[in-house]
Formats: sequence, structure tokens, C-alpha cells
Amino acid sequence: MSSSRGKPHVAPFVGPPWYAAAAWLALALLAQSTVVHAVAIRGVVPSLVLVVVVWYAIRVDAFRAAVFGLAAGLCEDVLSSATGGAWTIATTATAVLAGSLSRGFFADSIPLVTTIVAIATLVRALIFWSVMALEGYPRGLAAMHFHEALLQALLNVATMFVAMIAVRRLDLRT
Amino acid sequence: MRAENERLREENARLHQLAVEYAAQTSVRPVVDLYGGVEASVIGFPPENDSRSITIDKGANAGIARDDGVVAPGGAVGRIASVGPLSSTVLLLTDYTSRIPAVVRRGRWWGIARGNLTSVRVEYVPEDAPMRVGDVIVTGEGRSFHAGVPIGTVVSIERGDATLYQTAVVKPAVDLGALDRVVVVKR
Repeated sequence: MSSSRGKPHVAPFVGPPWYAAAAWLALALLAQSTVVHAVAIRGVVPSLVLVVVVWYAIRVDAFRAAVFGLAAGLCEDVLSSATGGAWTIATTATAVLAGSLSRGFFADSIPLVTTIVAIATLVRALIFWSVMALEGYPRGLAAMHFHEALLQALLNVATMFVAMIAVRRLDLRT
Repeated sequence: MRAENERLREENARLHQLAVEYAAQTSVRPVVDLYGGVEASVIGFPPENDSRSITIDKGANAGIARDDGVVAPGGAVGRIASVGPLSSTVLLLTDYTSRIPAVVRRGRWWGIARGNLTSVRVEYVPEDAPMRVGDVIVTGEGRSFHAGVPIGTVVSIERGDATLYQTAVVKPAVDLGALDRVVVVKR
């Protein structure tokens, strides 16, 4: 009792266990680099990786969110051909942002979580293409990248919505 | 009777799968005969499709080198951007950083084929070249390809008032979103 005097009470972030999150991330990366390409719309694919990162980041503290985002971004950079660390920077920053946005909200609120996914998609695309431009990627496609980011935000929101509905259904059965 | 029916259904599915695999393998055979080169299967894509590229299952161990051309039954696909021992990355024609010399087959007018994410743009075609929608664009002699490999068909032409050049928007000859097997050709 005396040891906690003077300190504000902060509920601990329990969140999903790291190995479950790592397993979901591995599955998302595998699907992302193989089968998800088959459902591309105008060359845009949903980002299962970002959906998993947001799902985890809104349930844990900022440090764990950043570490998870860092790991996810590193894996994407390894799997991409010439991004030079842009995914690492963009995904880490987005994970921290998603974690910060979700403070004080319920992580199972569909409207809030899908809104966070949409914002996270746009922010991540902005950071990614800014870093790519600094690394020398040819400029002049900002409008096209913006349209792609909007479409990807829509796809990511749909993916998160379906995933959350599926989880609720499973919870009801058990 | 039901067991027999089930067995026949399974056998039918197996034969159908074999037929699909055979078709996929034989479809690149004429390309290998025509251009020579190394057959390869597509095994991966960039996770977020940020670059228009694919990963194939052949690398330096199979004699593949950077800037080798990559073709499929319909025509040009792209060029090798990076090589590992067992796999390689192919930069597709539609990637924004892709540039290859191109020629309008009907009149031998030269240009540069540049990727535009969803299409290919052939730029720097002389303004006085009577290029038309429907013209076929092929590769010119370059670092990755010999001349004459189809790139695609002109779907629209952009002509400015105060420029010496015109630009053709080209639909690629190969469906780059549905690649399965390709052939890497040595220049």
C-alpha cells in the first residue's frame, strides 16, 4: 500500500501473448507475399500485415507496439525488392500512432478500430513514400499513390471488419 | 456404387490438376525454343505491391544475371533487378523505375517504354511519327532484350501542342498480374 502511494493507478496492458501475435504476423506475411496478390484491385492489395500490427498495437503498451511494428516492417523490407528500410520506419511509426490513438477506447469497438485502421493506412503510405522519395525514388506519382492508399484503406477496413465479426461469432459459439 | 463414384471423382480431380500443370509447363516451351534461356516459376510478390516486381525460383546457380530479360508466351515481362543464388527479382515493365528501349513495329519509330504502375508509356516518340491506336510496340536492341519482343498495343496517344515528342499509352502484351511461368533470356 505504501509503495504505491503518490503514483497514479495505471491498469496494466495485458494484450495478446507475443507468440500468438508473432504467429499471426508470420501468417500475414506469408499470405501477403503469395496469395493476396490474386485479389489485387487495380494493383492494390489489402495489407494483412498492417491489420495485424494495428490489432496488436491497440491492445498493448507503446513500447511493445513499437517493437512489433519494427519487426513487421523489417520483414516487409526483407521481402520487398528495393525499399531500403522505408517499411520499417513507416510501420514502426504507424504502430506507435495506432497504439496512441487507441488509448481510452475499447479495442473491440468495430467503428473505432476500423477508423484507426483507415487512418493508419493513410499515415503509413504517407511516411513510406516520403522515405522512398528521400532515398531517391522518382517523384511525380503522388496523386496515384494517394488514390492507391485510399483504396488500400478501404480494403484494410473491410478486412478488419470481417476479422472482428468472425472473432465475435467464434466467441459466441464458445 | 457410391465408393466407385467417389473414387472416379477423385481421379478426375487429380487428372484435371495434372492437365493444368502440363499446360502451364508447355505454354513456355515455344518461348524457350524461340529465345533460348532458363524457365522459371513465379514464387513470390512484394508484400504490399509497392514495386511492380515478382520473385522467381531461379538465380545465379542457374546462370541468371542482373539485367537479363524476362519473357512470357505473350511477350516481354521485365528484366532481372537482383539475383540471389536460388532466386531472382524481376522488375516488371509496369514498375515506375522500369525503362527499356521500344520501337513501334509498323514504322520503326523509337521511344522509351516507361512503367506507369497500371500501364506502360512509350515516351519520346518523334512528333511527326504517324503512330495510331492499335500499333504494336516491340523492344529495341538494348541491355536486356534483342529487338522485336512484343511489349504491348497502343491504346491511346498523347500529343502536346508545344513539344517535339508524343507519348503512347500501351496495354502490356502479357497479363502481368497473372504470371505463373516465365523464361529468362540472355542478352
